[in-house]
Amino acid sequence: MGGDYWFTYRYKSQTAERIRAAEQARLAADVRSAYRQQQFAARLRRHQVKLTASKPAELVEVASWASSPTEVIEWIGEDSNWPPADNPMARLLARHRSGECSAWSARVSDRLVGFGALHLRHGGKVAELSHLLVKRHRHGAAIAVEVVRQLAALAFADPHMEVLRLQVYAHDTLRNRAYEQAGFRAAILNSRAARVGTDTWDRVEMFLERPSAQRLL
Amino acid sequence: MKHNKSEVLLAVLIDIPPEDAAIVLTYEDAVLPLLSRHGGRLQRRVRAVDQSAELHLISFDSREGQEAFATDPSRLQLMRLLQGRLLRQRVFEVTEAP
Repeated sequence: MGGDYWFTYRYKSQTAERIRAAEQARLAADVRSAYRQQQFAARLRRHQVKLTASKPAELVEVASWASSPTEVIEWIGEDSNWPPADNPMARLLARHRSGECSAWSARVSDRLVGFGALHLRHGGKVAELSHLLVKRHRHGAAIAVEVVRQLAALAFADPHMEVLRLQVYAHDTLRNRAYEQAGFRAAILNSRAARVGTDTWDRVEMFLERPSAQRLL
Repeated sequence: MKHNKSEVLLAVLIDIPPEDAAIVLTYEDAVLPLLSRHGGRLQRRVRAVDQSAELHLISFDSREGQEAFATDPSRLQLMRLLQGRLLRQRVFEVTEAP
C-alpha cells in the first residue's frame, strides 16, 4: 500500500512538474516571439521601406538577385513554362514602357532592396501584382511583406480599383507568406499549372479586396 | 463541335471535397455566367457520379478573352464565397481528338 502511494505521489508530482516546465517553455517562446516581432517592426520603422517608380537600369540589378533558373521562374510567376519562349525582363520592360504595367523599386535608406510590379486591367478596376523580388537580407521576409503592403496601398489609392489579384507557385513559401501577411487570401490552387523542365508546379491564385472602409458604396 | 484556330478550348477538372461541396458549387454557379462577358462559353458541365468532382468544357473566342475572364473583377470578388477554402482544379488546354 505504502509503495503504491509513494509511486502515485511521485508519478503525479513528476507529471505536474513536466506540465509546469512545458508551460514555462511555451510562455518563454511566446515572449521571445512577441519580442522578435517588436524588434522586427522597430527595425523596419527605423529603415523605412520606400517605393519609387523603377528606372530601367534598376531592373538589371534586380534581375541579378535571382541567381538560378528556379528563382527566375518563381519570381516571374506568370503563365509561362521553362525555358521561357522570350526574355522575361525584356517583356516586363516593354510593358513598363507602354504604360500597361508599372514597375516599382523598394528602397531602405536609399539602398535598392526590393521590387514589384502592378499590371492594370479592366480599365483600372483590377491590378495584378507580380514580379515580387527582395534582395537577400536578414529582414528580407519583413521587407517583402512591407513591399506587398505598399504596392496594394498604391493600387487602392485609385478610388476605382476594386480588387487585386496575383499568382504564386504553391511551393514558394516565402512569397506565399508575404502575400498572406499583407492581406491576400488564397482562393484557387491550379494543379500542375506550369511545366518547368521535367517537373510540373502548382500555382495558387490569390485576391485582395479593397478594404471595406475605403469602398465607394 | 467546331474548333477554329483562335478559339481556346479548356477542360477544367474541379475537386469537390464532400465537406465543402456547397461552398464550391455556389462559387461555380456564380462564376460560370461571367464567361459570356469575355467570349467564353460553357460547352459541357458534368459531375462525377460520386459527386467528388466536376468537369467543365469551356471555350473562349480568343486567348485575350480567357485572360479577361481570369482577371474579371466580379470573378475575383466572388472568390470571397469560398470562405477561405482553397478550390483545387486542374486546367487542360484541349483539342478535338483525331
